[in-house]
Amino acid sequence: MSHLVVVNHEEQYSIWPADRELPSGWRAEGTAGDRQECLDHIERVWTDLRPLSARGAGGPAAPTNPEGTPDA
Amino acid sequence: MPQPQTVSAGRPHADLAREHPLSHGQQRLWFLHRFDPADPSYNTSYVYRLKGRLDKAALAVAFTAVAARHESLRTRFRETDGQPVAVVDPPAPVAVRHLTARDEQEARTLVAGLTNTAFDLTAAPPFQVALIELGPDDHVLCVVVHHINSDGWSLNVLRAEVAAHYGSRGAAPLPDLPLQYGEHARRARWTESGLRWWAGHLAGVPPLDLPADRPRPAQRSAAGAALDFRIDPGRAAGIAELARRARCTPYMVLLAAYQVLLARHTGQDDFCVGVPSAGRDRVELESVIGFLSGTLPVRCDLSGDPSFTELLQRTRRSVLDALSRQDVPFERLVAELDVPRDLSRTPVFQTMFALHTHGEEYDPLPGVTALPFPNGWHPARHDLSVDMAAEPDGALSGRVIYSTDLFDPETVAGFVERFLELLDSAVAGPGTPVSALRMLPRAESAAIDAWNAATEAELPETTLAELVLAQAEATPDAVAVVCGGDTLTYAELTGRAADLAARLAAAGAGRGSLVAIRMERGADMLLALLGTAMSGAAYLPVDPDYPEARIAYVLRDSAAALVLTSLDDLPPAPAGTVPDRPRPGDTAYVLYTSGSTGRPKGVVVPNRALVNFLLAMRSLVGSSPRDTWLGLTSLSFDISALELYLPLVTGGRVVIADAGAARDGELLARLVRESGVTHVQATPSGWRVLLTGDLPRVTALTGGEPLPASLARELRPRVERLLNVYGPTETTIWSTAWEVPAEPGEIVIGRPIANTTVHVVDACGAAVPLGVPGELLIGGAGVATGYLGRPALTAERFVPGPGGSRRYRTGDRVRLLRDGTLEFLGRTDNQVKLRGHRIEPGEIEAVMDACPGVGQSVAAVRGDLLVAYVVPDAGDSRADTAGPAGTAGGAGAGDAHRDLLDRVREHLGRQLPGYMVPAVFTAVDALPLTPNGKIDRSALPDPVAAAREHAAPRSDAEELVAEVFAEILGVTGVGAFDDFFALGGHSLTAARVVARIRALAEVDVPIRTLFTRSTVAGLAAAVEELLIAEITELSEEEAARLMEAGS
Repeated sequence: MSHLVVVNHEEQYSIWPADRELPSGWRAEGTAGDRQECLDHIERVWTDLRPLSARGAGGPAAPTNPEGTPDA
Repeated sequence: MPQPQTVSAGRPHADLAREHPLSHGQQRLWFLHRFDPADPSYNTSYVYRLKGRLDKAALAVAFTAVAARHESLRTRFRETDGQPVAVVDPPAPVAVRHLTARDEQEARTLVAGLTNTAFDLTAAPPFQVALIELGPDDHVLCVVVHHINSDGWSLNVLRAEVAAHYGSRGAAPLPDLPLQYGEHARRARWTESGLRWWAGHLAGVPPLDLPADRPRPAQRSAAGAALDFRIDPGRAAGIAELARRARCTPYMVLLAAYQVLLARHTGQDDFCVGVPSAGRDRVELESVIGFLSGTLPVRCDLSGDPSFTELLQRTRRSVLDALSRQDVPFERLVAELDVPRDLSRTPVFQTMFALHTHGEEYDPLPGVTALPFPNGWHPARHDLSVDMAAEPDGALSGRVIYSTDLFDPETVAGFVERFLELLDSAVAGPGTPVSALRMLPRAESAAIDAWNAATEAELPETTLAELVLAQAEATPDAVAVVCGGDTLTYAELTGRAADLAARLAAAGAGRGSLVAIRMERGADMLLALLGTAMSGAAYLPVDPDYPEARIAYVLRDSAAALVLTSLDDLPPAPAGTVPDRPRPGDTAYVLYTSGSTGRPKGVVVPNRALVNFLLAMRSLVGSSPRDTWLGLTSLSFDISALELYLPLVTGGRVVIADAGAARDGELLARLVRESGVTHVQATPSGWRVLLTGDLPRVTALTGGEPLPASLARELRPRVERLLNVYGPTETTIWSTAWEVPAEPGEIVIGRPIANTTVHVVDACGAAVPLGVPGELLIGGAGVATGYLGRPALTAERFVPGPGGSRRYRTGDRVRLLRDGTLEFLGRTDNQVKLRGHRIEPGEIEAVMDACPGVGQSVAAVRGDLLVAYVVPDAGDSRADTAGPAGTAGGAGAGDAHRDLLDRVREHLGRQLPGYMVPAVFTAVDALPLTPNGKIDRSALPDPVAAAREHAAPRSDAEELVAEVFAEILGVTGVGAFDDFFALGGHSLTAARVVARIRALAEVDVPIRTLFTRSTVAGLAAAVEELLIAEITELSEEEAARLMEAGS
């Protein structure tokens, strides 16, 4: 268990070494593991990359449906 | 005052002299002496100020008595056919040199002159006693002995015996010496198993690569300076207590902290520190004067980020392991290890750390008050040496001697402060991992914080669309865009953009959606960008010239809602369609970048970041309504946003160059002049194109790749202002900027722009000290949202900062200089390691670029080979004329290239350490560029190994050198391009080569010449140069004599 999944007030995710003091404004999300495990977890749970304050109208900027086809 | 007869005045009779071979240590020092006879770095000395009545005759008698007793003080050296021999002269009176000084300062100068003068080891035994008179009862005694006959312990023996004889007029009843140094040297006692242990233990140890203030010279010199410091008794007691608890010595605590200091300044967890050993582990050696001390390379292992306590245990083990095998001579070990020849560094270890516990407590002369006096000697034997000693008051005194080739005094003062800080934190928390021990003094971190805080500026809550609309309202009829024959006023621009925005809204695009823009360069393209911005949607630029597969990938990966190929793609919007304007947090654009690995990824940049960037650049570049920017850069390169938008938010205009003009310097220069362009931004490669035309004086921005110093010097006088800008797409276009001064010296990337912070960190994410390379993290308003649809990659690259902020890990290696500017060093993934050496291609390129005849250059690693690509300078006439006489005309160009490459190789050999000189040089007509105008390293051709074929010696001088190599090394068939060291030569055989050449050609080739010009052809050329110089000198003398005779 070398890393922690961490999250800030804008619901943005990152990872942090488990043995280091976490910077202010970030909290441990609850998942711990090696680097890749933490990143894999984030890949699953972080569905809207926009900061919380920028979400709202218009739906997510990150496509949740990769099949979405562009029309020309 | 009557002087005793001197030993140096008359040569002793040869039949009285005894000879013995040199010990291994003496052989090494002999070699160093031959290598640089003017180097005083192996002088040892002691100096005292003596107050009170001094019996000068008794002093001379005392030194004479000690010299009579110890052969080492009477030993000089002689060379036969490159082989040194120690010659012991018979006992003779020691001449005390008498000098006078008016004051202490003058005495110090005299002492420094004595201790810093190199001995000629062949002329006389290297032992000198000087007495400087300051007053009747006030003297300075200065004793200097070359290390080849002495060491620290020897000086103590010498001092004690002189003291004993001084009182008794040379009749002190000293016990007989059990053996003389020469006898000891004859019995080299070490075991093969000890040697094998060392060779295995040290195999593959990399050199310590401390960050220096200046590039490391190709050949190290002894130029050094000293810095003294002190550890107060309280701190020293803490260190002693920690040592006691860890069952080790205070020395081991100090050495462990020193290792942490080195590791955290180099990023290395494996290196050697030299540790002194007295070499007197047998009783009969205790009273011998001679070079018995040794240096043991202690291999430091900080792998796995141990706690300080764990490191202490490792240190204890490695020091004891080394001490138990100190009989193996270091010189023998170096030969066994076969370390690569590198004149820029000392072999195996580049730093020493010593703690002297045996003090100088006794009186050097009874009846006289003696105070230690500064010896004024500080040549650097290594990059950095630390000598510590216990003081009577319980404090520890320290002296750092550092190479002034490499370090400034402030840098070394920084090392010392951080060393003390580390000791404090280790004593306070020995269980802490070494990477987490506090190292930066508060003042240093406060300075870094203050530089970042200074970028804070007001950031209005607005968007690109709002800013352009506000400008259009203020100056509706001003020209905003020029492209070919077309112009658009601000009113036309925003009017037509608003129409597109409405069409987009009617088609369903708006806040939160993404519109791909796949259009040729031109006014319509800019309208499409602004229209999209005004619709609330984000845009995704797609260069229509990109390969179809790449375009398809980007469109698929981004899942763009719409792809605009022209302004007429969409039907007119129904009346009353009002797009929802974007908010500052909404995405402004998504830009795809190719990493060095993996698939291209879309960087999501919010409006707030773009606005911050534009306003920051506005205050930096001072853009005004009179400014005209050249829109030159491809839309798929984010920096194009500066050229297109900055004029539009300041009331200026943008002149869009069409795709054809963008690659032609002449056309571009004409466009700049005819359309009154005042501001141009380009990559360094782009600037080279622009400079081929007749360019008016503009405000120039250069970025996107490192600015070569040679280009800076060429470009700066031809432009009004030159800004070197730096930044990754992920922190919005440019994040730092540097105003290039009129006389550019060292090139830097400057300071962060408004609302931007920079952080240089080590592999653990901890801040590194000033001057130390680390990865650059960028925080602040420019930080992008992340990578489109890539949560894990985003989380990996955008890391936590304080206050819930995020910082982008750039992957760029930089260092923060003392003035708060950043120096760019390279990509962390571009940095290469070859045979243990860390190599920064940019450093090599900078030196190549400075070589006459070189236009541009690239250094890269192919396999395990360092290779170079050179573009000859178009204006270099030598390339056409340098072909050797007599070759057929058709071969001229190839030979010219080869001659240029030879010149570049020789130039690098003189400027850079050997490991940084590429093995293969390839001449190319031009370097491949990416569509964004950067050098495309992946598209460089395979290096053509232009290896010289074997060639027989071509001249008398070459034949001579080839013969000597063959004879000394016992090889046959030596060719003109064969290298002495590649044939098996080493430092000791080098002396024989020089001796043989002297015998055959009566020319004195300095040993170091053989190291810098080690091929037959190279050394032969040096021999010829020396012969010519001699002949010139001779003929002048003869001329003078002839003139005298004639008068």
